Formats: sequence, structure tokens, C-alpha cells
Amino acid sequence: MVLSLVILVPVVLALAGVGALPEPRALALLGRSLALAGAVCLTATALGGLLGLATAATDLPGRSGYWLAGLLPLALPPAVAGVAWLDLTQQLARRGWSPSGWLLTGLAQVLAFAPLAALALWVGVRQLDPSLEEAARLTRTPGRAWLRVSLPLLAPYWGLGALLVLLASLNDTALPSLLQVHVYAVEVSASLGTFLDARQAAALSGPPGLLLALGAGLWLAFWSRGRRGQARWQPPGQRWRLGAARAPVAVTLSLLTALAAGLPLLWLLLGAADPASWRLALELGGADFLRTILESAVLALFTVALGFGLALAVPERPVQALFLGLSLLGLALPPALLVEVWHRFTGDGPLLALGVFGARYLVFPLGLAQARRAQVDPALADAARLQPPRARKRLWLGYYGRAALAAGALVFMLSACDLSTHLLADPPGWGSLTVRIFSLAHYGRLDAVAALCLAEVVMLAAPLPWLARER
Amino acid sequence: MSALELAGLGHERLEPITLTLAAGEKLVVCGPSGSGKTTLLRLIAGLETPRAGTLSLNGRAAQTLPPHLRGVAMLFQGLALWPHLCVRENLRLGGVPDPEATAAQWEVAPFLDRFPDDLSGGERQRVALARALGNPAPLLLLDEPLSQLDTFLREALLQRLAGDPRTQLYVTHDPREALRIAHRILFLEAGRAVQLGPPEELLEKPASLAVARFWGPTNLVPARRESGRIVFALGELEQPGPDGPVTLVIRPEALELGSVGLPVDRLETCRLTDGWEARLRVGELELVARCAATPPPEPRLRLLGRAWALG
Repeated sequence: MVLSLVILVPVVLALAGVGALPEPRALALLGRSLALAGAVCLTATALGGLLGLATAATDLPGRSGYWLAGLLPLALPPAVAGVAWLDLTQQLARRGWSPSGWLLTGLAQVLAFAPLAALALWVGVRQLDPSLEEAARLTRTPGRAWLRVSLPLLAPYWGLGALLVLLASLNDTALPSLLQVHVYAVEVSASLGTFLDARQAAALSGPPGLLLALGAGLWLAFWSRGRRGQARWQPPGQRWRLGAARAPVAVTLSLLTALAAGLPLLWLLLGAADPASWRLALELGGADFLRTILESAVLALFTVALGFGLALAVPERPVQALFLGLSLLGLALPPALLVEVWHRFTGDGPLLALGVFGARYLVFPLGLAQARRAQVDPALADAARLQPPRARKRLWLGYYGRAALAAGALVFMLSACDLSTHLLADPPGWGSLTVRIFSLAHYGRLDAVAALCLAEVVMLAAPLPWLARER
Repeated sequence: MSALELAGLGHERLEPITLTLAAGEKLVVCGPSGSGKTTLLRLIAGLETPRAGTLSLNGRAAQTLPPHLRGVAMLFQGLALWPHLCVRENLRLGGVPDPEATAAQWEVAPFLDRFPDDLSGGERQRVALARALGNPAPLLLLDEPLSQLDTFLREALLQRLAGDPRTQLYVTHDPREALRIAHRILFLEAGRAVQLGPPEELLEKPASLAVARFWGPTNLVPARRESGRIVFALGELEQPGPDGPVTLVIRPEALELGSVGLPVDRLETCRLTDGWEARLRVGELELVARCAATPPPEPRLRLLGRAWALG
């Protein structure tokens, strides 16, 4: 019922929007944006995949450090990274070198979204039974055994990572806006946010929404047909010895993490070294900071409760596949479209934000709950059912507690960083930190936002050590 | 030329082992869970790196060879069937030269185009056996190969494994399988080889309590040795060793319930497929005995077979 409200209505509207196709100029823009998202997707998936593989089960020295540093961009809202990149480009322009905005946007998006691919692949590697590859190594070289066994078994996770990066890139408005690149997502957002033209927003949302929905559907079909055996969480191990590849992998990951997390952080630390920026931050964004924490926490609680409730209440596989497909669609559709639909039901109240963010991020708790459910031995579930209610509650918490917390932390970070949804769905007068940072940066107050950015990064990075912990 | 030679081969979970296997010899590896049985097989297969020692296969130094060049076939405890490949592809990638013929031989031909997830536990085990034994490698490493099969199928396959002329290292917890297969048994305990020898030796002269218990219900009777002589309630025994307390290991088959011997204070019997098991009390001793026929009323107990002193 909730899902149908959250997801199905926007789909119908998106289909209706196709009737009024966008004008050729917008379609050309869509083509360019798709090309950018495709390139970002390929590069980020390759780099993020490398990070996920190298940190999940190799003998790379310092792999936990790479993992933590590699995940850090998740705690850097695209707006924050964008501000750092913007400042860097301005510094470069003063020295007479102006890189192309498209190139810079692509680079910034790759670095911002690669952790999504890394997370997906990390989960895949940890669920892969090492003895499968070992069995193949008895008759094939290590490389061929990996290609024949591990690669196909990891392909769905690689696909999931690619899909998440594609969605994030295509729907991102923060980085292109700050780096002054006009992409399709900005056009859609502007048609609703600036010109208040819902019909136009729906029409513009239709083509990319359908393309992404098609991609999500294809992946889901691939996923549900995939044979992955009995999924079990594998302990960390040195499954793959890198040997001679150790040095190039370490150099690539060092460069990746230094650029993705180090550069923006360095910019933030340098900017925030001035005490004046902290006074300004407190004055301008103190209340926004608290509001963002409150809003993201409520959103995380709501989404996790809904996702885990749906995953555990109806165990049938087709129903779960349907839930997962619909929630992926929620992530695929442009936020402007979800806002337009929810606005009809809720008006401009806090429920609008709850509905839109819920639709966008339900896929993470739902997917994690489904994955965890597949790992819990049915005999353990039966054993819990035999216990008195209090003991049963403790057992269920043991089975699902960590996954729920991980999902909550992920939704907390992603929703706090989601600039375009905050811009469109937050109630009037309700400022969030990401929007505040974006606005200040947009009006050229780069000197004033470093402390605010740093405060936001610290808040968002708080769950990262826990997320990166070996379990 | 030996088929397998380990000289001080050690690992974090396994103390150095020295061992030589002749071509065609079948060594059964036993021991409690976590004693290092699987680690030993993985070391020989090249899936673990040894901390010390050398390994040679068919006279060729092999400790630095990658697994695919060692000429070993392995059946994993968890089976490790590739879930994304059908049975035919599983056999092919597993190094089986003629999947169809092997499938027919191991009665898995009807499943050739099915995937492991679509098979029952027993069917999967047969496919795993076909994959390991259909590989022409001269050395077989089998980690509890029959654990998921019913008794009838287990007996049939055990006969085939016993008849396979290749060298085998066979891990099992089942004493009957060990007796059927083994030329020699290696018993591991907490990563240490505690006994290596023919099955009869481990059965009659166990080196530790764990070895004695491996064979099933066993009587452990406290006694004392003085000048190489041990006197206990059921008889006496000469076994050299230091004076002091010892534990006597008496197999249930070594006890006879009849009309001669010590009176039995309490008796409970249980029917087995091949006779009776009697749990009885004689004075302070709680014992277990096996007999072919129903024990007589008011039976007496005597020691007919051997006892072995530990300690």
C-alpha cells in the first residue's frame, strides 16, 4: 500500500509525461548528459570495483585504511566536493588554465560516486564462498579460475554498483550546477523548482526515468536469474595474493583516495583554519546543522523500518523481487517527479520530504534486509520462533540489528547529501546544511563555507568507521 | 617411488608432519573438529602456504608448484560446486575429460544439464564425487566425501572408493569408513599428529583418549601400574611403563556377558543391527559391552579380549 503510493503513482505520471515529449534542445542535452553519466559510470565502476576487490580479500598492506579513505567521499556531499573543485578551478583559471567544465564534472562525479560501486562489490566478495575459486584453481591457473568462477559470480554486484553510479550521476544537480555545466538533471530540477512547471518537469522526467527504469529492470532480471549458491558472510581472508600487482594497485588506490577524499578535505581544513569562518558558520548554519541531523535521523528511521518491515513481513521471493524492483525505480526516477506526485497528496508539509526521501532511499534498507534474510539459516529463524517473545526479540536483533544499523547509516548519509531533493522537498523555511552550503558557494562566498562543510563532513563521517569495521 | 612425501610440513594450525605414502596407498585422516585435517589436505593441494618443511609428489618437489600443476583432485567438505555452471560444466571445469561417461559411471547423467541449486543434498554430493574422482589426477584428497549420503548409497560408494587404485587421503569422522578404506590411519589432535599406523593398531593400542573414543563407546577404567603390572577389577595386564595411575581402554567387544566372571549389579540392553549393546554396572564401574545374542538373565561379566593402558 505504502509502496504503491510512493512508487507506482510517479511511474504512471512519468508514462503520462512521455506523451508530451521534450523539445529537441532538451533531448540533445539528455544525450550529452547520458554520455557523461555513461563515462562516469564506466570509470567509477572500474575504480570503485578495484577498491572493493582490493580491500575485501587481498593481502594489500593497509587495506583497511584504503577502505576507510575510499568510503569517505560518501560523507562528502557532492556540494562539498563541488565547492572544493570549484575553488580549485578558480585557482587554476587565475594561473591561465581552465579545464573543461564537462571534464571536471565527470572527474568530480567519478570520485564522488566510486564508493557506491566499491560498496556493492565489497558485499559481493564477502558473500562469495572462497572454496569455489579454490576448487577451480586445482585445474586452472589462478587468473583463469578467477575469470571462470569469481568474475561471473560477482557480475551482479558489479552491475548493481554500475547502476547505482549511473543513477547518482544522471540525477546529480549539485556538481554540475557549481561547476557551471548545464545537464539534463539541472533542466528538470529548474523546470519545477524555478519555473514551477510540473507538466514540463514530468515531460522532462519521462525519458531518463524510463531509461533508468529499463536498466533497473534488466539488472533485476539478471539478478533474480543469477545463481549465487548459498550466500554466507565470509570472514575476511587473504583470498587473492596480489604479488607483482601489489604496487600498481596501491598507487592507483592512493591516487583515487587522495583525489576523492584528500583534496576536498585539504581544502576544507585550510579554509576552516581561519577562526572567522567558524564564527560565520555558527551564525549562518548552526540551526541548519541541528535540523539536518534531526531530519536525516527521522528519514533513516522511517526508511529502515519500512524496508525491513517489507522484507521480513512477506517472505515470498516474487513479492520480494517486486518490492526490490519498485524501490530501485524510486531511486531511478528524478526527484522532481517524485516531489510533484507527493505534493499532490501532502502539500508543502514535512510529509512531502518523508515521502520523497523514503521513495528514493528505500532500496538500500530493503536490499540489505533481503540480503541478510538470505544469509540467516532458516533453522536459526525457526529456533527464534520457538523462544518466548523477549528472547525472540533479542535473537532477531542479533540476526538483523547490524544490517539495520548499516542501512540506517547509509540512508542518513545519502539523504543528508541529497541537494536536489532537499531543495525541492524541504518545507518552506526549513533550511538544511547542504542547501546552505550550496547557496553560499553559488553566490561566491567560498571563504565562508569551509567550516560549515567541515562540520557536515564530520557529522556524516561519524558512521564510517563503524561501516568499515570487519564483521 | 613414493606418491607423496611430507618432511616436516607445518602450518599455523598444524605442527610439522613427516609422512610418506606409497603409490596406491589409502591414508585415512581422523581427529576431532579443528584438529587440522582439512588444513593438511589444503597444504598438499597448494591452497595453503606451509610455514616449514617440504612436500614432494611422485618424487618431484611440489611445495612451490601452483595447485593446478600438482596433479591432485580434491573433494571439498562444503562440496564447492560452482552454482553458475550446470553439472556438465562443473565436471568439465573440474578436469573431467569425458563428462558424459563420468556422469553415467556416477549415476548423475540425468542431472547433466541442471544446476547445483536444483539438486538435492545427496545428488550434489554425487556430482562432487564425480567431479573429484572423474579427474584423472593420481592423488585424491577427499574431505568427508560421504557425509551427506544415506547408508545404502554410502556403502555402495565406499566400495568403489576402496576399489579405486589411486593414492588417497581420506578425511572422515566415521570409524566404519576408516576401517573399510584405510591402509593406514593418521590421527590428528589440536594440530598435532598423535598416532599413525594400521587401523588395528589404533583400535587396539590407542595413543590417546581421543583416539580410543574415535571408535565409538569405549570403557575407560582407572587403574594403577606397579612394576609393569596392572591389576584391575576384571583381571590383570602386563604392560611396561612408569609406575603410577593409568587409564585402561577396554573395547566393548572385549567384554563377555555370560555365566562366568563378576556379578553384574545393573543391566540395560539396547538392540543394534548386528547384536546387542549392554550398559552395565559392576561394583563402582559403569561399563558398556557388545554381544551377538541377548544377554542371559543375571549375567556375569569377564574380560575376553585385550585391554590397553594409557598414561
